[in-house]
Amino acid sequence: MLLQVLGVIIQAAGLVLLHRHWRVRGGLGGGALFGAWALIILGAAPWLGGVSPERALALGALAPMLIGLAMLAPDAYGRLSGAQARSARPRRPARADSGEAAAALSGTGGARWFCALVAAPAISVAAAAAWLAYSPLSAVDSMVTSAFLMAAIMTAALLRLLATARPWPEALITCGAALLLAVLAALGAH
Amino acid sequence: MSGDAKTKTIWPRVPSGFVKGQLLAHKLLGLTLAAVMYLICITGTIAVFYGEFQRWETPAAPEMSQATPEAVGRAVAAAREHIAKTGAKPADVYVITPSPEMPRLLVDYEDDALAFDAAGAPAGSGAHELTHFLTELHYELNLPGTIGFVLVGVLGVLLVALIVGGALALPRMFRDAFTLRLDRGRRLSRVDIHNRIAVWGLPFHFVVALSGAIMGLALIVVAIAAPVKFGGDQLKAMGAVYGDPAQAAAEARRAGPPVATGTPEPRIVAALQTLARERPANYPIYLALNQFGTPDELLTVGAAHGERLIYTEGYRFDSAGGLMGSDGYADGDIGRQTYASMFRIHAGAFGGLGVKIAYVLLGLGLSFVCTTGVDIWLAKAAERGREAWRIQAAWTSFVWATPGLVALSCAIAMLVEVPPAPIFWIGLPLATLIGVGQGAQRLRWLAPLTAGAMIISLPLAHVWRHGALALSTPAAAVNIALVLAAAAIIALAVRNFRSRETAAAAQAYAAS
Repeated sequence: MLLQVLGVIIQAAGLVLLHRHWRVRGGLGGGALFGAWALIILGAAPWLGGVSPERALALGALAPMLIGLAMLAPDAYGRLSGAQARSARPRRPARADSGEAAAALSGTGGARWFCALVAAPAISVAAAAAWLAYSPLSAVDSMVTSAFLMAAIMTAALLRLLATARPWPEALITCGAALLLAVLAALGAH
Repeated sequence: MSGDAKTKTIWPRVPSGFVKGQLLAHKLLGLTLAAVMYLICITGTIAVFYGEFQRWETPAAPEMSQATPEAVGRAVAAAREHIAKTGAKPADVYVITPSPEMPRLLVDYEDDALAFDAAGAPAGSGAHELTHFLTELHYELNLPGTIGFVLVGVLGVLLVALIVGGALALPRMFRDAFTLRLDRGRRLSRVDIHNRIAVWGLPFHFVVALSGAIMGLALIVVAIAAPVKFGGDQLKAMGAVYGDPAQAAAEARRAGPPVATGTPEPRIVAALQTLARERPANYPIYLALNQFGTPDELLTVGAAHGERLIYTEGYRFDSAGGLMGSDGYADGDIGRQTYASMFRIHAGAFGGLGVKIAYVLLGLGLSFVCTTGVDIWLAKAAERGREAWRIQAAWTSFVWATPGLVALSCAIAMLVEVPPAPIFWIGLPLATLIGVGQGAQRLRWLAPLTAGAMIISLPLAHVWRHGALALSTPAAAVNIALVLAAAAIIALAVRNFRSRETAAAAQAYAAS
């Protein structure tokens, strides 16, 4: 447990270094940036003691997230208590993040949604079917990887179709690709 | 003015058109799905402590750190007799054996749950319908059959899309990681809060969304795999992942005549003794009796592999209690091991109380990201002179009513023994509509105050129902946590009320 606590402290040190690098005009240099990330990654190493790598990764990833959020808390607390925020302006202010989506794109929301809801599931299911039909892996490995493939393709298709300036043509192309994959899957079915 | 011109970066510049496109995609997805995403996220956050909630719900059930094979055998025999008497015919019966996660001996089947003491003697009901309501609200929106499970799985994919799209719309994600412009107006402060919590929690949000999606998509994959890979045989497709029950039953019969019942059940005793001897590091978490009460009844013991993320490894036993083999979740195909790890990584059930608390904090963060997304849109509309106060009021009501009604539904169900799901699903739209009539300003204090009052009704109902048992260790911990949560929310309501008074007084002074 002591080693793990030490690891968390090392990760915290890495985050403090990142904080300094990103707050100072011009940064602290590439070496500091590399060192900060190295500390965060190395600090997770003690979790490897006695557990599998995937469990160690899961455990080691929690602390940096919580420490980072905790480092933001003083500014947030200042707002909640009505006091001045602890640091009103960063030394390197963020680009004016207006949150503006391209005006020319925003008028076709309904069309995008319709295209995305039809085309994205179609291509993801068809791709999964084609993968299952031709996968050289074992049955269970094919099925599990097809679930991940379905999620990845649906995500990519949704983001593409919701962002494009030409939703209808791209949805048509996506559905065509889905049809092709479905035919391939049917031909390869056994 | 920024120092950007003097800062060199090794990363290629992301085209602004791409960023704006991803922002649009993120906005479309987020605004359409905000309500259901928030509901799933907040109920998931609460459900991290599903085990503690179950123990709180049934404080009378005995607790123990372990049970002997004979005690478990006696419990199974008693449960079998009880099931026969009631005329129930469950397909599967699960025996929960004492473990650090659930220090109880229970027999659970579709109609009921029975509790047993450390000796395996009956100790009353172990039914935990409120826990089922909470977990089923999260993973299937209380919808019937498998529809809800698949729907929530698809929503998991949409959440992945939201997370990935949001990240792609933030090319300065790392450099702005510590930027909080809380003094730059309503919209920008919410943008920064939304972005900072989203970025810092990104690994957690992504893994939790993806693992939930994979579990939900599994049924779709089986449905696709059946015609493509197994000649249309759905059972074969299921068997590829979960094992072939017919084959297992045939193998079990080779050991000798069918299961001999008795008290304690000899097969159960022999199986647990065999497991302890051959797998001493892997203690049992549950026993599954599939095809219960038939000549082909199968016994599988789910045993812990504490160093792994897999939920359990399934060890199959023959009719004499001899070890036949394992399901391969610990050392079989990589795909099977990966799938078996989805639950623990999704639910935070891999590192004790510390990890659960971390998951609750990060889960609250994700829920907050859902709410601030809508706040940003409303703030932008207000800046353009199109204040959507009805939508603001409805959203505020919905956000606070969701956790409040989860608690109130459980409290009412506990007192008058009615199902909590209808109370919740009728109450939620009702509360949202009532909120529209209150106005956004008033709701800033009224909504959290009402939610706090609803939450505090639950520990009060628990004490009313269970008396002194409410003070037992697991129950008291949950009650204290509920009281503290309610107190924090009510404190926020009071603060909001006072700031409203201060603003009104300042206006009156300025006018005079």
